[in-house]
Amino acid sequence: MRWLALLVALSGCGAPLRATGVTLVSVGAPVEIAELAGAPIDPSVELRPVDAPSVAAPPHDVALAAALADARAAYLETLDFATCLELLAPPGLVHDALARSDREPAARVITMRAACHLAAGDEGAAEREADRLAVLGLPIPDLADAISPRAEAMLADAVARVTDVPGVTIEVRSDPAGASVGLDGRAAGCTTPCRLEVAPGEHFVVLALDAHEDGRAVVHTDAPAVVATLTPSGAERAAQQWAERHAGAPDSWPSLRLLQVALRDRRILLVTGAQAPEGWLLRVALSVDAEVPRRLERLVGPDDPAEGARAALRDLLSEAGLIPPRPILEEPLFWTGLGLAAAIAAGIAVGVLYQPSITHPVRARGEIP
Amino acid sequence: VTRRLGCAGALCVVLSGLAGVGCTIEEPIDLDLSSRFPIACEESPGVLLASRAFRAPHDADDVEYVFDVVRTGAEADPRCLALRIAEHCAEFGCEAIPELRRCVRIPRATIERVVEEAAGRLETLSPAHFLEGSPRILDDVPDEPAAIRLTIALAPPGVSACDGAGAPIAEELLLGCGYTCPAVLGGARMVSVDLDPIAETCDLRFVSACAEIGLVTPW
Repeated sequence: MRWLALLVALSGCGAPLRATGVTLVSVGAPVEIAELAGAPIDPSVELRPVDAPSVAAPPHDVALAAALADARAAYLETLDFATCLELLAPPGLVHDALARSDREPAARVITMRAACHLAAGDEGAAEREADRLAVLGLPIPDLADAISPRAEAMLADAVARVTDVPGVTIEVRSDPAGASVGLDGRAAGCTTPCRLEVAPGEHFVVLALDAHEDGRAVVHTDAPAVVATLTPSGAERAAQQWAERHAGAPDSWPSLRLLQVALRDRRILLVTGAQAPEGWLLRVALSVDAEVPRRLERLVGPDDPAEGARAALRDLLSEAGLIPPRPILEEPLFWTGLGLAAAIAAGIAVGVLYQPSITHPVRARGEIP
Repeated sequence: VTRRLGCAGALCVVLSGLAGVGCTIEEPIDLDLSSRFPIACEESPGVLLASRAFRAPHDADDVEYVFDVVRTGAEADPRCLALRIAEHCAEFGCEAIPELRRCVRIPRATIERVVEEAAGRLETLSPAHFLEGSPRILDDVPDEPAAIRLTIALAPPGVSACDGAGAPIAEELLLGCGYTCPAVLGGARMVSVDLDPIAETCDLRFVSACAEIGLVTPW
């Protein structure tokens, strides 16, 4: 019976009957994934071709642009400073812009608010806005034609004042940890948990973690700690994150993990390709659950890249145990090795058994020694 | 025979085995002809038998080196003495192998040039002086005790000792004769035709007897 089982294993007859689904994604590969998935690689695997998530055009913040335009008109044309302040009052205007790293529009909002306060006679409020601009490290926008020279001078003074004050350390944590930290509309260059030195005052923190909704927090240096709980995101947000963050290096582990969420499959097969002098350098990565992805690189000829890609997919899936290994009798290496071994054995046998004939030709020596 | 197979031999064996073809390894034997002995016999006191080549009617003939392989048998070792070979062959019988006879013709012009260079002094010359290059005279030797005989004889135009299926050479054509030591030749790398004379006077009678060992009735 054991021999029979071995024979079955060798001949490849023991393949499972139910096909395992694997999502197939291609980024820059020379072969259409539909073509790859069209010809079955193995009955035990069903490849499902899916387009890689693409980056949607960044949403234009119409509300912010409209609010700024209206506030400017109220400030310059109708001199209705209360309306100006009312239009720019929602805190979300600045925070949304900073969350998108749109620092210039955020700076415009704060500057206009400072100008309107000053024009309305509330110098204290105007100074607070100017300080806010300086603490956030935002650039003073070019609004020479829109705000008074006094307001402009107030902003410059605030920036100079904040620059002279020593920094304060704030601590940023998240659950789960490992989120990229954005501070005041710029990348802070660290992941949670981390400490940052900032100007004294109020700051805006954004925490970004793959497959999680972004976390936002306002932190004041008087209570210099932020702890944010990040909630898992849906597939759509994960697809958006993948397109924004990983489309450039799609076969990294974080990229593949995010693709699992974005494409709602725990088995992702990613094919990428780069043109090489001899054809295409094909990279295939397979991610299953939370395991470390398996990778395979193969140079495929320009004539039939689809066949080379299929062979690469087959080998990787086989290595991962998703399809049975190719029957040994179908391996070219097996026959090459067998032939070589037979030739060596024959050579050794001949060397041992064969007695060469030895002749002793006689040459007459003509020269005198 | 001790078979010494070098790397080339071993490689030959393996490759020939892989290719399914036979393999032959050559272990050449040099036959040294530098001894004067084969042309040292005298026709009369002070006159070498070889001087026949310069007397009419033979002064127009070429000279031929006739090589024979003479089986000496395994019954006893005759040792390296011409006299002993003669006695041994008389007792046990020896046999020249007709198909292994080889002839190397020495052109008349070569004979005259060499003798002229030696200022006519034949007694200073050996068979090697007249031979040009190192001609291959045998493809193989028998795997049994044997001696190689060199008979030097005149070769009239159009006549060769190799035409006679190993027949004796006419006495009036003989110039000299010599043997190697009897041995299983395959085990040697070099053998010399340099046995000592079998009699105090080495004359035509000796040369004739030397040339006929194994060809006719034992001497």
